[in-house]
Amino acid sequence: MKLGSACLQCRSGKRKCDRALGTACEQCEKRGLQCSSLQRDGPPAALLPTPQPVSSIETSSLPPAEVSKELVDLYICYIHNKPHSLFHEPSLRQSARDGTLNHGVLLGIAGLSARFSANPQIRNQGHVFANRARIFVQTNIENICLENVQAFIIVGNVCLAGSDSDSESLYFGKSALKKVNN
Amino acid sequence: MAQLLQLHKEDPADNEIAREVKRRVWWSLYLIDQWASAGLGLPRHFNGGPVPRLPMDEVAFSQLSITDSSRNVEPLENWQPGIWSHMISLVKIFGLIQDLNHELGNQMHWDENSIEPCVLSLAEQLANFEYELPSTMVYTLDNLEFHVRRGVGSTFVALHLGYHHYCTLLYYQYLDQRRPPTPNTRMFAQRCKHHATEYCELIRTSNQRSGAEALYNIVGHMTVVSSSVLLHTLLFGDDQELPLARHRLESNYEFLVKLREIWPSVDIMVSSDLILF
Repeated sequence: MKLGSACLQCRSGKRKCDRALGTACEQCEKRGLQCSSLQRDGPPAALLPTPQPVSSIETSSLPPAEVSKELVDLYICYIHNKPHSLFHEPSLRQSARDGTLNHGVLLGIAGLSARFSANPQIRNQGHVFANRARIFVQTNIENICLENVQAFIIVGNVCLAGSDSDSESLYFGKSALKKVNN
Repeated sequence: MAQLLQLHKEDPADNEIAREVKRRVWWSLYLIDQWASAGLGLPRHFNGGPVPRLPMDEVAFSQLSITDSSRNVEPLENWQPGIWSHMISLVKIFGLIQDLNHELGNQMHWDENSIEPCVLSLAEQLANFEYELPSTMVYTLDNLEFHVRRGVGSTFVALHLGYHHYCTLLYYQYLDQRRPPTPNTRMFAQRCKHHATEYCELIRTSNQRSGAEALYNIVGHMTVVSSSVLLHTLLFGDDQELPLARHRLESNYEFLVKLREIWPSVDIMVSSDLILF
């Protein structure tokens, strides 16, 4: 596989990229995206399995334990087994409890289900979780494992449902699907 | 990625939970592929090729034990299809309905003699789908209660919302009164109204019953389609149809207002789809 010189965002959006290490590219700047040129100083990860996530999320950017529990409950109530069916319910609850749930999956679930919370503070955090999930998925786009496919599907759902229904988010949903399938 | 992971293949090293999760992830992608290609008019990625076993009964699956995997060796004769198995059969027909509607969208001149047999054949597939549903999967209030008690009420509702939505889409083109009359035109238009109405009633019932709520994102789009049919009845329908159509349209609208609080994108669906209509 040829390692492209474009940043991850431009690659996924099929745009011409003027990527230079250490600065955000023009396309990302224009679109307000978190450009991957900023995040990496090495070449992109190789295609085949690196078992660990390329970048793990800092624990401080994950929802606190009780909030995670509430958001996983809301996800199971309103989303699980409806537009998609991705989990064994007791395993999902347990991994959320003991902190072993994939961070992309957890943030995606949080981004999708915060809107159902009765607590306005949690509801307002929804887009923050969704954005972190999106960045997680974009950075891990080449890291193939079941959990990342699950995270992809959830983030795709968040994007399709976002208020910014511009082609960018629609495209992201579709490109995620394409990536998953290729 | 799903192919690289070989999600459709059974891995002997996996326990039954892992196998079923992989099947469900694979089928979820299949369903998203059918929906996404409808929404964006792009070619599908899941065409032909090997498929995994259909998903098992949701309740039996969630009862598989995490800690004691030896108890999880399900003998095949105990295997029961889940609600998702039926959802998948239905989505296959949905794919064919989209193909037909997409093709009609591309044609300048419609040849009624070739369209009608296609519609009749799809109608027959949908009728067979309903006919072959096990008795507990047919929509009745008793069955709704049964599935709510088992904890899968809203998945059961999702199956039937999908059924009425796909039926509405199959007959949608027959609402156009400029279509040349054929013996079946009137019947198709009536069926379109029937399913849009059933959809509306089901949304109302499900959202009054805790454990059966349908509040996921796609419901917004489906409700807008149902509303557009009701609006058509309100504008062009017979006098005796009007009061009920108005009442149902109001009920759909109330629901959409509630849904918009949860999903801001519903706003865009309402404005773009209803204005287009």
